[in-house]
Amino acid sequence: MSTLPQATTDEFEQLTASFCKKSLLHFIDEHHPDGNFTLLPSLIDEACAIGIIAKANKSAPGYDYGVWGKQTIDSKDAILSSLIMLATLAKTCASFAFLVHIQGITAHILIRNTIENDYHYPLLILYNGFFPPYYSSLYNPSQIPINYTIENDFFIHTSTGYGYNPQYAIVCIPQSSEWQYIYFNSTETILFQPIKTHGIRGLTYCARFNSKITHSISSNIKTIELLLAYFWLGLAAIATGIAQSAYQKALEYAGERYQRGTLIKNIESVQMLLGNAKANIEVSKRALFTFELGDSSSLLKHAAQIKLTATTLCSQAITDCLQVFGGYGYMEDFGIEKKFRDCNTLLTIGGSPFFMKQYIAQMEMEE
Amino acid sequence: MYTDNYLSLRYSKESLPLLGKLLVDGKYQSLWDYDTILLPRKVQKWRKKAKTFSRLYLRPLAPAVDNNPYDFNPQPLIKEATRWGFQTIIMPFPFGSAALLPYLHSTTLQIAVIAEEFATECGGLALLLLAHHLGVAPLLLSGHIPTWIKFLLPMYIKGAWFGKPTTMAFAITEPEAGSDVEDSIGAKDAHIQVTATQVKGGYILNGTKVFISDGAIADQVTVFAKIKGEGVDSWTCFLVKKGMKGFSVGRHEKKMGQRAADASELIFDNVFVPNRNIVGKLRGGWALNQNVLNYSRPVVAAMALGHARGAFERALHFCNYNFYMGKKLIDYKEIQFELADMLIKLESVRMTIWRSCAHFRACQSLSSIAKVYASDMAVEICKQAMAIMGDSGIHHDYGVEKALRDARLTQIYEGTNQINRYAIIEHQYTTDLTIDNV
Repeated sequence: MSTLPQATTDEFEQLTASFCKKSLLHFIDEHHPDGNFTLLPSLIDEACAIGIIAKANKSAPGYDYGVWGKQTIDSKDAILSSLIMLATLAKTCASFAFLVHIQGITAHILIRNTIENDYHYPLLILYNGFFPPYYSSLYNPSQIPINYTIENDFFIHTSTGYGYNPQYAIVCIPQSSEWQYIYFNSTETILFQPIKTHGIRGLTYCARFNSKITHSISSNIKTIELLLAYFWLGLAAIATGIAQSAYQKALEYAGERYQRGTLIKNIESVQMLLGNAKANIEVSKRALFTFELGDSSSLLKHAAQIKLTATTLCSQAITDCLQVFGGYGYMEDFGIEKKFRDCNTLLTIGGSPFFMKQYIAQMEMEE
Repeated sequence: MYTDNYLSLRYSKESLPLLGKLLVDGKYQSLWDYDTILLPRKVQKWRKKAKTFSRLYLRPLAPAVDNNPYDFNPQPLIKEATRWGFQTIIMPFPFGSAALLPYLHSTTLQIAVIAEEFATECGGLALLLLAHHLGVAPLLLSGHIPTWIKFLLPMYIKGAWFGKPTTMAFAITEPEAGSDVEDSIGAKDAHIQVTATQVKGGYILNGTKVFISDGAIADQVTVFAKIKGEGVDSWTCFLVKKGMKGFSVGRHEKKMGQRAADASELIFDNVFVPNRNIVGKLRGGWALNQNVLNYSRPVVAAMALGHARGAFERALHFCNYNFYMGKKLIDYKEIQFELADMLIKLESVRMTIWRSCAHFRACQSLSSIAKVYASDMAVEICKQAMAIMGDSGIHHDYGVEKALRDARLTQIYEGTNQINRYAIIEHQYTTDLTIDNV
């Protein structure tokens, strides 16, 4: 298993932080609390050019070390770097971090299957139906009721996917006893409509396919396990980044706002909120950055635990941070409400706590 | 699974003798119905009426108003609510539409019951209709019959007889004084800036209030100001009418939830308020403020309960109509456990609220207990509802994520939950927090 020197990991963090400070910061302003999407194409171009975003193109700067780039196939440090980059991006804007995550996961699938693609904008449908699939059906997909048809074309009536103005699409589907990725290198025949969501707005689509398949890739269970694990770890990293920035904001606010004739940082109830938030964030950070890279199924188990714990703790931490702001926290101006929505969205998507608990229990039983 | 079980409650009752059958409950009715029976008959009527009203008028409006509150004209809805008697429910006849006998047992129960029904359908529209009562409350609590006759009577007559609503708002929060003015300890050091300067025949008000619910649409506002050069103990409540010179509405806040009701900045620039518009006594504002909050906290608790109930009902509907691995979600035991857990919380919150309303006068600690417990539980229930819906939980169309956004505000307004915890101890502190000193 290859490793990256610590200095390289730090470099990725600094690179991402400097991109956030220089460019990403302008994505959110008072008129666009969820992001000014007209700036998104130039931001994506920039992030691709400096190698933050992974692309399935060998000449792209992010091919190897971008988020979920080629090196993450077998390097724990490359995975760590991806998580650090996602968390750093999320400190400034969780929506952008999520988009980078989705781009990374799709690029990763293509890279693994040696398919080249130079597009920026994917649509990722991890599973056409209820997500995550029932634990036993993960290993035996034939149990899953099929709601698509593949004859000459691939047809699904509706399905939920993530991305932004997609140019290509990947759908993960169960087919008889195995999983398959269906790849479309064009979205011309896919009808997709944006869905308004709680947080991470502007990146969820309802898609209807009646399209020609470019590639149909059979996937072994190990790859599916890794895909799920990376997806969950990424969500946990973004949640941790959001919580860290919310905490920082709350701490600054507590040092500026006067109530009861004193700065609110001196008020016991505010200290308790901040203390609780800090503890939750530290625990989720430690959980996130100390995962063990064993085989794919043990990574999946760790990732499930980390997703459950980190998103739950971070969601609680952000609730506490919002409370420090009082009424101001509920208004769009301070940006905390967006962090609250974004983190709760990450808590729910890709396996809400309710489903994750069952998953973890079933994995344990299996052992 | 449960309906055809021959060992179930319904069938097992059949084997009991007649007297036994009378003593056991074999009915399958909703908890809503079970709870309604506990209420006085007239309050039961209000509860049913509010449920019908909110399904007829609030439910169809809710998603669109949440998406775009700025194009929404609330006047037709307020007019309809006035016609149904909801906007004058704070007092019994001849000042309002509340039922007299239940009112003599509890002054807040009727509004609390209505608040739950409204908030179940839409948090923003519920706030839009209910914030009016907060504005009226200082007039009521002034305990001054001439004030009632001068202000409440015409409001009731105009509304009930001529269908012309009068909307009121309650203005205490200032940019530098939020939680401070909702807590008796903090208030001593509060940095209050809205001042009243005495002039011939009245007072001149100056300063800015913020986050005022219904501030932009109110015809009259009960505004709290300190007498110039004095402290918070000089706080006085003034009735300011729309159109008074120097009174204007500033910016509207963009809120995360409860978006149908505006939260506005009110600007007072040398507004002359005649002496006759002083509500209660001069320098009697603090007492009014504290008691208004004690009155309104059970209502906020009921709103929180409504948000949670709305989330529960929508999640239940989702589980009834969606399949997972070829089986309805509702038929999974895990889902049933989660739904049961949510129901336990909903029921315990409702009982806490009704218990807090069981006194004729609002009790500070019980009001705060209800508010804190209900709002915390509401946020939990909404998250549980989102969780059992999986990825669909975050979709705006299902309305559950909206309930979470709406519920989150109930942990903040009417005093943050931290301030309310202080209020509980403050009220109980001198009792040594004990039942018995033996």
